[in-house]
Amino acid sequence: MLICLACYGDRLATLMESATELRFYGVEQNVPVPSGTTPAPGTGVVAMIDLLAGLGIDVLICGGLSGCTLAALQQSGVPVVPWIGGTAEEVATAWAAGGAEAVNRLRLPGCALRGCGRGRAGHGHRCSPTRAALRTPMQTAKVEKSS
Amino acid sequence: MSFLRDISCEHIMDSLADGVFTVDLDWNITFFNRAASAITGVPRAEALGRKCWEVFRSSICDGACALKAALKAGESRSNRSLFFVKPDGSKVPISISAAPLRDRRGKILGGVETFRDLSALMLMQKRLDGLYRVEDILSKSPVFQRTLGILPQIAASGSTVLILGESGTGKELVARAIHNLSPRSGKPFVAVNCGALPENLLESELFGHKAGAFTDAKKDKPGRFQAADGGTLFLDEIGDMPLPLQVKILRVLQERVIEPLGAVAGVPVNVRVIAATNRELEGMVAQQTFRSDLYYRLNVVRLALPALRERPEDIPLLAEHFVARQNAQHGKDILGLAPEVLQRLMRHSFPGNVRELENIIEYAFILCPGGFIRPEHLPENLAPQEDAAQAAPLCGSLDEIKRRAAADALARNNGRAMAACRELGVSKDTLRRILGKGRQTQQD
Repeated sequence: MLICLACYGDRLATLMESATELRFYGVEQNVPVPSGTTPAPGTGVVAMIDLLAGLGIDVLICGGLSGCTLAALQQSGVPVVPWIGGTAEEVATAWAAGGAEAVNRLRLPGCALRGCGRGRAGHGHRCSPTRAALRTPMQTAKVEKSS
Repeated sequence: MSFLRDISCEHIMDSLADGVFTVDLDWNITFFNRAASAITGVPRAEALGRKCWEVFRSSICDGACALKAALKAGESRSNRSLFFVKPDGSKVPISISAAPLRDRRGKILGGVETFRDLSALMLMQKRLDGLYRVEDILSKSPVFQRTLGILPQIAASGSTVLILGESGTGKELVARAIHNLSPRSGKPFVAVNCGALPENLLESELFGHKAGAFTDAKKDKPGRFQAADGGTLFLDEIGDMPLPLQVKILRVLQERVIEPLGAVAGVPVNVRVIAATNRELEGMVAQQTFRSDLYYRLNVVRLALPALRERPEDIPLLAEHFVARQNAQHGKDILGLAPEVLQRLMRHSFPGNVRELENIIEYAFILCPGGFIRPEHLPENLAPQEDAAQAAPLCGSLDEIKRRAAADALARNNGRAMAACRELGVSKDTLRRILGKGRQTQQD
């Protein structure tokens, strides 16, 4: 199990699009094990999605994100748990202990479990597969993947 | 100033149209007015006590916070434009101002931020400037989404594009989106309707003329090709272009040189041509009313835009967009369409496509004083016909009845295909098949 947190400093970035660092954790006996970090590509969210798709992570946990970014992540096959807030440690610990159910207790205000990111833009109304089409060739990064 | 004693500050803040929130020195939200809640979509009770970045979720929260800058400098920061993301994933453009909050002794206790929703303003500005992007073309239709998905590559290619589609399907919008996505976006986008001008005038309009080329030609006039130099020329209704002019267009496409009327030498131009038509060009080529060599020269990249009746799932989405636009334009606050209006629109065949839908909404805005647009606000030619259809729901072939039931279910569910599927007890594929059969029947 490899989880990735889209971070700004020691907390989850407010928006996935403005994350400056990606932190990776494995899970061993319900405890998160840090397994690497990488700076978020400075060339935009499309490059970040390529990077995440190439890493084969099991789940991306992030703060808010636009419907277009959510659609692009889904098209790239990156499982995502969005609209979560808190410190990286807090979120990683919650995931390791109780998975999505535990992490959902850290949802951002105004983001009930049903509805957030699944509304207008989440359905692709105002965005199209364009972002996916714009993606650059797959990028890779070396991350120590813990079992 | 005695009135302030009787009115609470909170009450005044709640009457403002702009969002206002305050934070303490640990960035915890201590006040959140009614407009802030309405604009962000976060209830006040959930916002209070939370970190401001968890609630505001703007593009500057991570690293470029205006409030932090204001507190650091000890003075206000105003009118920064940015966007934040609402819980439904939509981006909202706003302008913000931030300032430190001080006590009576001047000690900073926290900060205050005010913000204004610029969505309506941006909507109008975009329309005025023609700055349409792919994201501005609204569609949930998989067919249309596929077309939109390849626009960036088409835009980057620089090839000539031929856009086919019925009148009102958004051919110019797509042409503008291609231009705005392309490396030529910094240069002009010039649109010419080839069907709107007589042959002589069209030639002068496209290629320009020299002084003395004809009576009244008192000075040189550059044509649209020169006006679009470095950018994109959109030739709308190319199927209506007279044959002699077709030859000249062909020459420009082949040699990149135009010959203004009365000129003795050609003028080189660097223009990308995007042509569009609602006519059947292949048939016109067969009938020799359109030059085959020009057809093949234009037909490098071909985009076929679906008619609105082929994508009924987009009707609620587009209607909502036009209501928002009309609200912004006329300063009204119409809430949307009543369910029975949406049902009628879903059954309408829209020969005028998206433009017709826009006109219907515009008409309804004239009659609708407020609240929801109701059937009596629709144009008369729409209502009686639809009433007749409603009175005889089981008329027509089985396919047609199924299609109507599917369209009605989509209307009842505000265009949400999955909800319509659940209501009808069919899969999404089946729903698409039913709607697809309806399309074929209509085309037959």
